[in-house]
Amino acid sequence: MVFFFLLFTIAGLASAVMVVTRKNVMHAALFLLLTFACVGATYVMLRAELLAAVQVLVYAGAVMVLFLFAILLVNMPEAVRLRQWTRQTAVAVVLAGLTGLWLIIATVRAFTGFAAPPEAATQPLGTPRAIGEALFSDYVLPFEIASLILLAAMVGAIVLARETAREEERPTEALSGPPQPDAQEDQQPV
Amino acid sequence: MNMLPLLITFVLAGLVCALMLSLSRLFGPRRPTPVKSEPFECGMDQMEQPRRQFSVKFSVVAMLFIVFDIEVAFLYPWAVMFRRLDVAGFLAVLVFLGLLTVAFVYAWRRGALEWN
Repeated sequence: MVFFFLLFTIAGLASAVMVVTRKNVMHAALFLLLTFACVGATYVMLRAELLAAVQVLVYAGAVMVLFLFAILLVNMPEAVRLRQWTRQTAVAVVLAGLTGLWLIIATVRAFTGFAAPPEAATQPLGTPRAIGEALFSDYVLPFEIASLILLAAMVGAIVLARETAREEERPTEALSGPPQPDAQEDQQPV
Repeated sequence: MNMLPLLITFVLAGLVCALMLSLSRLFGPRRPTPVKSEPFECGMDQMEQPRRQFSVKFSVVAMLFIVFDIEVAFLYPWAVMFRRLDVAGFLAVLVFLGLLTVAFVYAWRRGALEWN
């Protein structure tokens, strides 16, 4: 078990580092897929099976597809040539270091004096069954609100996409411009 | 919980991939020439780069897919507890699905499912 934990955490962290260092954004996306898979495996080892399934279905599946489409939207040959580093390395190191330190302190403080209840070993909390029981007894309202949030997300996505599509069309209209009196287009072969 | 079957599946999948790639590398002849290495070995010369910008329409489809993917993910815990949850659980899911059907109808009516 320790072997698999080390395998998946090290592979996940290594691929996460690759995500932020690769210059080709498509390679970064593929490494992100590996990171998602490793996180999913870690969830399985924590006996959070439903979370693992959601991690694979939603993150490695749907979110990754969205990322890939977003990547394909940008002009990649140009993006690869762009400079990846700015001169703000020192600021970034200090900020990331402080954030990391704060995260470590918060995690250690949250878990000091924390002991897992004895029934946690026999009755895992992350199975679909356990989550179903909690979701439909104590958390029915948040569950229903989740559908409202999804509804709002969908409406937002459609509205945003319509505006983007309209902007995509606009430059061609602007290029053709108002009709010139000495229309030279007539002379060009159609 | 026994995760051994899952592990065996992954190991087998990896083995099959490694076997196919290594066998074809081992036995397949490789004599590349510049002409052979072109995307189209015969026919017309390449006119443009295969790498093109995709339309924003694809990302709309992907965003709609995420919403319905999450919806389905929420149905798993309900499905495994279906008998025990009884009518209350059924009604809760009905409200959940009803709200998302509103989203679906909205997407349909606004033409988000059309491809034009």
